[in-house]
Amino acid sequence: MVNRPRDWVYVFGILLALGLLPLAQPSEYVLSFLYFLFSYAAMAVAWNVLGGFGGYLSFGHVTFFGTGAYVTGLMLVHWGWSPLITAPLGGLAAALLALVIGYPTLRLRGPYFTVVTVVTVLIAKIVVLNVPLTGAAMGLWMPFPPWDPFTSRVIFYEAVLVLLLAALLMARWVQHAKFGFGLRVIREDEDAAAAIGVPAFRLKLGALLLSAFVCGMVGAVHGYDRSYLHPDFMFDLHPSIMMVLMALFGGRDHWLGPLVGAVAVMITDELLTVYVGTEAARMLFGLLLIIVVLFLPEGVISLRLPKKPPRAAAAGEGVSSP
Amino acid sequence: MLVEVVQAVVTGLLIGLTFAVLAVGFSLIWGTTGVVNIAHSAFAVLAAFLSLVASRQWGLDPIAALVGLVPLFFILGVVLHEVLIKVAARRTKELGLASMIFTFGLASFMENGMAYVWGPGPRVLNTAYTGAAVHLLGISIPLTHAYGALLGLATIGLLYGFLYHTFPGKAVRAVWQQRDGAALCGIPLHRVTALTYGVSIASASVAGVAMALIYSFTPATYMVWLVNVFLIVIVGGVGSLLGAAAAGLIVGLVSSLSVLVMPFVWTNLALFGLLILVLLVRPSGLLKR
Amino acid sequence: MKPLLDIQGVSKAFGGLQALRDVTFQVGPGEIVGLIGPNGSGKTTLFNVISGFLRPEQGAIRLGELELTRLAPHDVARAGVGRTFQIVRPFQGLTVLDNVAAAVLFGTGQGDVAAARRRAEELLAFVGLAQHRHSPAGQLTLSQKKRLEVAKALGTEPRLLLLDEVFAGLNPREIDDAIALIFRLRDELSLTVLMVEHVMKAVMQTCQRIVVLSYGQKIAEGTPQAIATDPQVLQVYLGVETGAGH
Repeated sequence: MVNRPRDWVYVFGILLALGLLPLAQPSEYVLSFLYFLFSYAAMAVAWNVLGGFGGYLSFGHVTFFGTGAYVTGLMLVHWGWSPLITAPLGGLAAALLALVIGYPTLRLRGPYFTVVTVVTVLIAKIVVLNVPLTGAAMGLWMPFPPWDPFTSRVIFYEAVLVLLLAALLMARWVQHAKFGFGLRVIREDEDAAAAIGVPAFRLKLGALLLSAFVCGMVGAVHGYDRSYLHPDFMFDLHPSIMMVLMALFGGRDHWLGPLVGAVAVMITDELLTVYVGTEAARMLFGLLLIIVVLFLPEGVISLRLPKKPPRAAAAGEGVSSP
Repeated sequence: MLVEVVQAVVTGLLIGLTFAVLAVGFSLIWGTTGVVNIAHSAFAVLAAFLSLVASRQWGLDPIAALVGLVPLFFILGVVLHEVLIKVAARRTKELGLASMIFTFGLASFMENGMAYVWGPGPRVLNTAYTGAAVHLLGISIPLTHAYGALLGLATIGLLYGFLYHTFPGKAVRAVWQQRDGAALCGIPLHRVTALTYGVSIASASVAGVAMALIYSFTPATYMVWLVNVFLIVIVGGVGSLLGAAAAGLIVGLVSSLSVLVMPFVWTNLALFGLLILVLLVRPSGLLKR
Repeated sequence: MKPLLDIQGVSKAFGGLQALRDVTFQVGPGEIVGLIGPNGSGKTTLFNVISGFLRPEQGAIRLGELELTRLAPHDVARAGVGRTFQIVRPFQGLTVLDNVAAAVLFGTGQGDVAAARRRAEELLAFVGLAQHRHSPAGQLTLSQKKRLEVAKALGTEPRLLLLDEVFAGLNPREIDDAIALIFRLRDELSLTVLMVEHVMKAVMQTCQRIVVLSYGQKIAEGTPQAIATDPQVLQVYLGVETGAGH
């Protein structure tokens, strides 16, 4: 595994500098773009702990995002508590849901687990659409944040930057700790991992809870920023796909990979959406996902890091083999 | 009440056959090559859109349009195999997971491509017999449901005949049961898998038309259909043709009968719940021996 | 002497197939015991039962005072049973060193990654893989991978080592090296070894005692010499009617 000791100094230095950016009075457009970038990056970095390190592919993390948004949104509507303060509660609610989902389903492996994660998104959407508490199909309107537009942009910008920083620190810690070791050997071979004493189920559950917690917090902040929640876009599969794409594109073996992927994907997305429209942009992302999986399985970050020798015995026999 | 139940059973079985034909091709590919093709139902939606175009442009009946669609989708299936699957099998370690990601990419590409060309809104396939029904002993059978089910039955029957009574079909089954053994017997794996993809995607086109006779659809509908497909394949057992057919009927029955006891919106929830339950209890499939 | 591993009346069936039927035997501390039998006689199934991957329908397995029968595989590993797999399963994407370090971390409850890597270096030196420690595990040769499997099992600080066909596929020189390694496991690390093996030369040279399985049943147990002349064993292996059998 790669370890240039100074990598993280650069990364956190840049992030801290970005924290000071609002002093330079940038346009709301710039703040808004970076806000989206940081939100997605934080979720992709967190997703990668289970999906990248652990190899348990989830398309369901948007459920945790939506849960965080709705739980904190409801606390704002009913009790007047600001989601910026209750965000950790949103994260906890998401982690609790992750526990409920993960406890039975993390025993499943491979495609079976992934299928369940897709289904949880659809279930969450149906439930929220049909429960009066959440405003159902009308959506949930929240009071607007009490600041002028620019201050508001700065506050949300700083909030997601903090979340990104926290997610990165968490992922970096996991990668170098015993925890990360365990997740990587689970990805390589779960039975062989058990044979050396790795409590696979507990580690997977831990990874799921951590990543759900971060996604829930991002959801809380994001929901408040929108001031209006609707199941159609709080429980949409697209953000899940984006998280996966960012992590895989950047490189799933390294805590920095998803951040690199997020920067690349968000800039491309912005340019494409402006110049060719949403549908064409999403078509291109579909293609990109194919290309990354087939030709860049270790992500762009592997291009910069010392090259690993090619994998032995990875070549198949021409046609698809199970 | 009895009439309602009988009506629900009949409708459920008809819809079930339509679901089943959507699932068999998916199951075939998963069973033979270990590829979980998320884009399978996107191909079905594409067939639905193309039959809509055929009916609007040339006044062609959707079922008649299948004469052109089936060969076209067979070719698409072979192309999919040649362009993507072969490369993936060579380059990735875990084909099952990798295939879920890149076929998700393909599905997303197709969905947004269709939205780009035909718009994201819901479409309905109108035929000469839409809205017509046969009445029999107090129950009514909409012709669209009947034709959809017949298409399903015919396709599953043809697939069964192909797999069990023709030489290439037996080769597909041999590869499915024991890949290396089949290769040792001199079965050209490459051509057999290419054939499997052709057959699978061709069956998706029939399924797309059958589904579109009954339901409205949008480019994003593939996701809803896909969940049904997963449910059927997992209940029926991955790679089992008759299992998928039987599971299709079960799913059709569950969804039509549950409407009798719970509000319509919760029906899908019941199905999703069933899916997760089956996965947890018997991941290898309820109907598999 | 009290046995280290005590297998009492273990039975396991897969559907209609009785893979193990009332198997009972013990392995004493410091012993090297061989488990042989024709293909499909239940040897690997027994390993999987001992190491917790399969639950037996009947019977009990104890390691010293500890009941292993209901433990999950990772708990069995932590309780002091190290195992290798018949088909080698190194963590291909990790370096050789990290393969063993992972075993040290999780098998012993060690929390410090750097300390685990230091311990792994020692173990790699012990099995003779020190110079390969920074290569990806996927690049080793078969005989090196088998050594790596042993090092991984050692990383968990086992009291009992289950070796599943470590000699299969090795050439005669490599077999001699592996035999030497097994003696060192006992003599230098005071380990107890239970090994499934087909390579008779290795079994005869290393094992003090041999247990023979056939169709899931124990049909003989004794010293290599006794087993080599046991009429029932000969019949099972060679199909020879010796008159003494039936």
